[in-house]
Amino acid sequence: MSWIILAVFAFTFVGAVLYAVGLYNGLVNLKHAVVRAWANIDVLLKQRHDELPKLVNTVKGYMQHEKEVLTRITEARSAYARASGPEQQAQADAEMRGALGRLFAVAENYPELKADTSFQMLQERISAIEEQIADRREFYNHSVNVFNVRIEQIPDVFMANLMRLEARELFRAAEEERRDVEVSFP
Amino acid sequence: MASAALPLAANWGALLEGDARPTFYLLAGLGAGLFFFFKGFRTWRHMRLIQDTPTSRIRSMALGRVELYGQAVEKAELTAPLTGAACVYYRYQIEEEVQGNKHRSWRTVDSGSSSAWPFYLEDDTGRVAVDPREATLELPPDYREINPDLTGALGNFLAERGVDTHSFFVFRKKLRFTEWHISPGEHVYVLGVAQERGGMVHERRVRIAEKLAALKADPEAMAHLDSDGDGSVSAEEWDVARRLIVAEVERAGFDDRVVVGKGEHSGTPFYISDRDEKAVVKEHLWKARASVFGGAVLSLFCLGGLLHRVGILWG
Repeated sequence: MSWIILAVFAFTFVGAVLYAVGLYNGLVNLKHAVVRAWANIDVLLKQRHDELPKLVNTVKGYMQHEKEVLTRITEARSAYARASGPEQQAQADAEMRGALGRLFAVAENYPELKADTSFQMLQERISAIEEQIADRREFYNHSVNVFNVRIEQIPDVFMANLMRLEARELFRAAEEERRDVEVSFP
Repeated sequence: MASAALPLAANWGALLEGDARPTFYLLAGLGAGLFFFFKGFRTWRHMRLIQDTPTSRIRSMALGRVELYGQAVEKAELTAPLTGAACVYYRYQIEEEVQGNKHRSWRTVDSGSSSAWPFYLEDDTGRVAVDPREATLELPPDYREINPDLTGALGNFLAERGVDTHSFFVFRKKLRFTEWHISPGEHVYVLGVAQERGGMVHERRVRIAEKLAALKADPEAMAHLDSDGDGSVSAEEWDVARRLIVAEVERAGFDDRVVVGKGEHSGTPFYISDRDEKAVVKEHLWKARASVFGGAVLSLFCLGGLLHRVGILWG
């Protein structure tokens, strides 16, 4: 009988080791998934960053009286270049989206600019990148949420404490984006 | 278990005394039990991977491991061979009933799939090609029948495949037909690796280069590019033309330069299922539990049997 008891212990021990290895590898995998999700946003932010000089060159010929709009774009671009880490980059991204939104709104007043093929292409390209950034932000937040929940849940919390894992920050919308839009009817 | 091996080895002769068949069954059972025990942990790891991977939108998915959920769209027109249903993917199996020493069992006489044909997966943001080669397909059978009517298309298909339906003289074999397929429009879950197809990237570059060369050789088109009318095409004007050509080439069928499939050396499992993520996770969970506990119990039972045969246990 002692052999069977020994075998039961052996199975329990091997099972516990495999379970612990599974938890450990799962958490390592999640940690890297969060880093990768952020890197995938960063790729798009850089792509948008690279399109901006072309956009500014295209519009400045038409919008000479809109210096404030163009300056805001240039400043936001510089802020992004200086930003390091998700939090600062998220802030720079919010500024950039605000500046681009303003530029495209003002462009509505310039029919010749709107008819320019180069401007149309750049606007289309930047809008497509913006949509992709929004999707990847959502993806990043989902990855962070899964990671944060896992490291607080039993049994992962024990392994997470051993690995000294800490909760990650979500990519939050900027304050001005969360504000209610004021709609006034004539 | 390792310590049990010593007396087992010392009494090996006792294991083979008399009828040796029970010993072989017990050894096979022990091996199978250990296999299921370890396989259960693998299934559990895959379940966690599925749970932990957020679903991507197709338009913004990144290269690497991706989880997608969308509708299947045909890339090539396929017809399922047993049912004749239009589909984007099929797999079939034809089995023959065979009589063993004590039991009857089913032996596969023919099988096949359309795994060489990719299909598209579409969500509300875009579409991507899925290459089902080497995928673990989790589909319930769409068709299973024993000895159906073999006249018509099914009979022709069997003749084409060289499947003999007669056992002796005019007596028919007992054949079981099973088919799994994914219909166009069906919702499909995919966990795999998104990668650029090398050939497609090269083909795209060649097509773009050809179109740019043709544009350069056309003075009228070049004059049209000169939007500021200064008599020359500036770098910005040329960039606009290049972008238009890239967009045109991509519209003309190069939208599947990224394909989701089995990644090389990625360690990511490749699953295709016609159920949603929740159902896939649920199935993995019960399979993992059944495999780990069933495998452990089977191993212990067989080990007990072997120890009993050598006289160590209940001897």
